[in-house]
Amino acid sequence: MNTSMNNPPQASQLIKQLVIKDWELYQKQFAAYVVGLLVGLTLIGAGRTWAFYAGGLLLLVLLICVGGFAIQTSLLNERKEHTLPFMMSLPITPMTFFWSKVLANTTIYLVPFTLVVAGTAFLVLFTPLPDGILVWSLLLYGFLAANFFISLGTAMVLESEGWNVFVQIAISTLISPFMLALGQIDAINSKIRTNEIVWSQPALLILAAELGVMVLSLVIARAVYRRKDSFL
Amino acid sequence: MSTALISTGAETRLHYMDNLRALAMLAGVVFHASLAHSVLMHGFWPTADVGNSVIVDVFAWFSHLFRMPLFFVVAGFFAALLVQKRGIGGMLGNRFARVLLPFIVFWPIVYFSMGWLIANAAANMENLSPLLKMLKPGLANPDRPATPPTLVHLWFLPYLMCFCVLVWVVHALEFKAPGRWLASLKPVAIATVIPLVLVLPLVSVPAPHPAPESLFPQWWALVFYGVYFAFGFQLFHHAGLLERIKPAAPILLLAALIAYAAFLILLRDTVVANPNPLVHVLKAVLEAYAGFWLTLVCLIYGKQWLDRSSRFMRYVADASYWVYVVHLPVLFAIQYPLLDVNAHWVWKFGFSLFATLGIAFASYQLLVRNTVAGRFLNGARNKSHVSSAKAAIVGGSL
Repeated sequence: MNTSMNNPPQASQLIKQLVIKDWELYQKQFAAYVVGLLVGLTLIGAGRTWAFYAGGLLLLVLLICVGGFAIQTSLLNERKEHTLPFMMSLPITPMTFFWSKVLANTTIYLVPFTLVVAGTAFLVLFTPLPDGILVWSLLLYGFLAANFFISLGTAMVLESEGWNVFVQIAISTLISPFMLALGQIDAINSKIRTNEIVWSQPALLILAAELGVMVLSLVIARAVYRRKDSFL
Repeated sequence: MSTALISTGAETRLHYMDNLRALAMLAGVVFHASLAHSVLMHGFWPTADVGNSVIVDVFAWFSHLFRMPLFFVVAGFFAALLVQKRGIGGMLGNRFARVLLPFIVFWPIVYFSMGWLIANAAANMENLSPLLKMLKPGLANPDRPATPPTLVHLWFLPYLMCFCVLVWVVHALEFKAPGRWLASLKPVAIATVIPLVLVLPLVSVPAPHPAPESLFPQWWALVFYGVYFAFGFQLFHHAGLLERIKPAAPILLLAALIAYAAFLILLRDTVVANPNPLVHVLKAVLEAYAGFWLTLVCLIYGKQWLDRSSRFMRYVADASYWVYVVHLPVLFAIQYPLLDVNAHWVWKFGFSLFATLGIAFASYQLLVRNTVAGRFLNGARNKSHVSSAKAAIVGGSL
C-alpha cells in the first residue's frame, strides 16, 4: 500500500477523485448558492438603493456561508457520520487526504468568491459609485477569505465539532469590527468617497497581513497534519 | 422521458427547430433595421430617421412579441437535447464554448465599435436623431462621467448561459415538479396559464418590453425568458405537447392577432406622461398572451412547414449566429450616413436591411464558414446528409 501511495501520479489521481467526491456531495448546497448569487446580482442591478444594499449584503452572507458549509459538509460531517473509516480503507496517505480536502474546499470557495469580487470591481469601476471604495471592498473580501482559510485550517486539525463551530462564529463576529477599523484608518477612509484608487501603506499592510494569515493557516494545518502517520 | 426524439431519431425531428432559430435571429436583423423608421422609437433609437411610419411599428412590434421568446424556446429545447446526449457537464461545457466564449470575444468588439459609430455620427452627421442630439454635448466633453457599459444586442448570450447553469441547479436540486406539472396540463391550460406567469415580469417594465441590456441580470428578463427557455426544455421531454395543441393553432393565431391589435391601440398611451396603471397592466396581459400564442403558432406551423432538409436553410442556419452577432454595428454604419440622405423611408429601410444582410452573409462566407472562426462559433461543420440541426447539436452551435 505504501508503494502505491508514494507514487506521485497515483496520489494526484486519488486527490482528483476525492475532490470530485466532495464536489458531488456538496453539489446541492452549491446549486442553492448559485440561485442566491443570481438573486443578489439581480437585486444589485435593480436600480434601487434598498435593493442595491440588500443584494450586496446577500452576496456577503453567501460568501460566508459557502465557505462554512463547504467545510461542514466535507470535513465535519464526514467525521460525525463516520464516513472517515471509508476514507481510511482507501489507498491514501493522510497527506493525500489533507491536500484533497484543501483543494476541494478552496475550489468550492474560490469560484463564488472570484465571481463576487469580479462583480464588485466591475460595479465600482463602471458605475457612478466612487472608484475609491474598491480598496475598502477588496480588503473586506480579503478578510472574508482569511476567515475561510482559518476555518479550513482549524477543521483540518481539530476534530471537535464544538471547537470548530466556536472558531467559525468567533471570526465571523470580527467582520463588523474589521469594517469599523477600516473606517478609522484615515489613509483608507478618506479615499472611499473619491474616484481615486489609492493603495496606501496601511491598505497594503492589511492586504499583506490577510494573505499572510491565509498562507499561515494552511502551513500550520499542514505542519500539524503531517505529524500523523495514520488517520487514527 | 417521452420524447419522440429517442424513438424516431434526431434527424427527422430537428430541422424545424434549427430553421426556426435561424429565422428568429434573422427577424432580429429586420427588427433592428426597422427601428430607425419607427414612430414609437423615434426619440430613443440612435439611428432614428426623419422618415418614419406607423406601418413600421405595426410590423416591428408584432415580431418583437415572439422573436426572442421563440429563440429561447428553441434554446431550451436544444439544451435538453444536449443534456440527453452529453449529460449536464457536457451541456455546460458545450454552452460555455458556444455561448459564453463567443460573448467574451465579440462583446468588446461590438460594444466599442458601436460606441465609436455613435461618437462619429454625432460629430459628422447634419440631421441627427433626437437621441444623438441629446448625446452630442456629452460626447464632445472629454471630462464626461463614464456611463456603465451595456450588453448591447448580445444580451441574450449571458442570459442563455445563465439558463443553462440553472438547468444544472434544477438537476442538482432534483426539482422535477415543473416538468410533471406541464405534462399534466391540458392544451387550453397551457395556452392560458403560462402567459399568466409572464404578465408579472411584463408589468414591471414599459411596453413593448425593452431589451435587458444591463450588465446585471434583470429579474423580469430572467423570469420572462426563463419561462420560455423552460418551456422549450420541457417540450423536448414531452414531444406530444405540440401535437396536442396543434388543433387549436388557427384559434390561437386569431386570438393573438386580436390581442396584438388591442395592444397596438393601447400603445398610444405610452406617449402620455402619466399613463394609466390599469392600462399598463392590460398592455402587459395582452403582450404576454399574444407573445406566447404567437410563439406556439410559430412552433406548430414551423414543425409543419419547416421540418425538412434544405441546403439553403442549412446555410442560413449555419450563418445566422455570425450574422446576428455582427449585424448591429454594420447596420448602424449604414444607417448613420443615411440620416443625411433625402429619400423615402422605404428606400432607406430596404437599402440598410439588404446591405447589412449582404455584408453579414458575405463576411460569413469569406471570413467564417471555412475558418477557425466558424468552428469557434458553430463547432465542426457536418458535411454529410444529416441535418444541420443535428450537426449543430453534435458540433454544438448556439
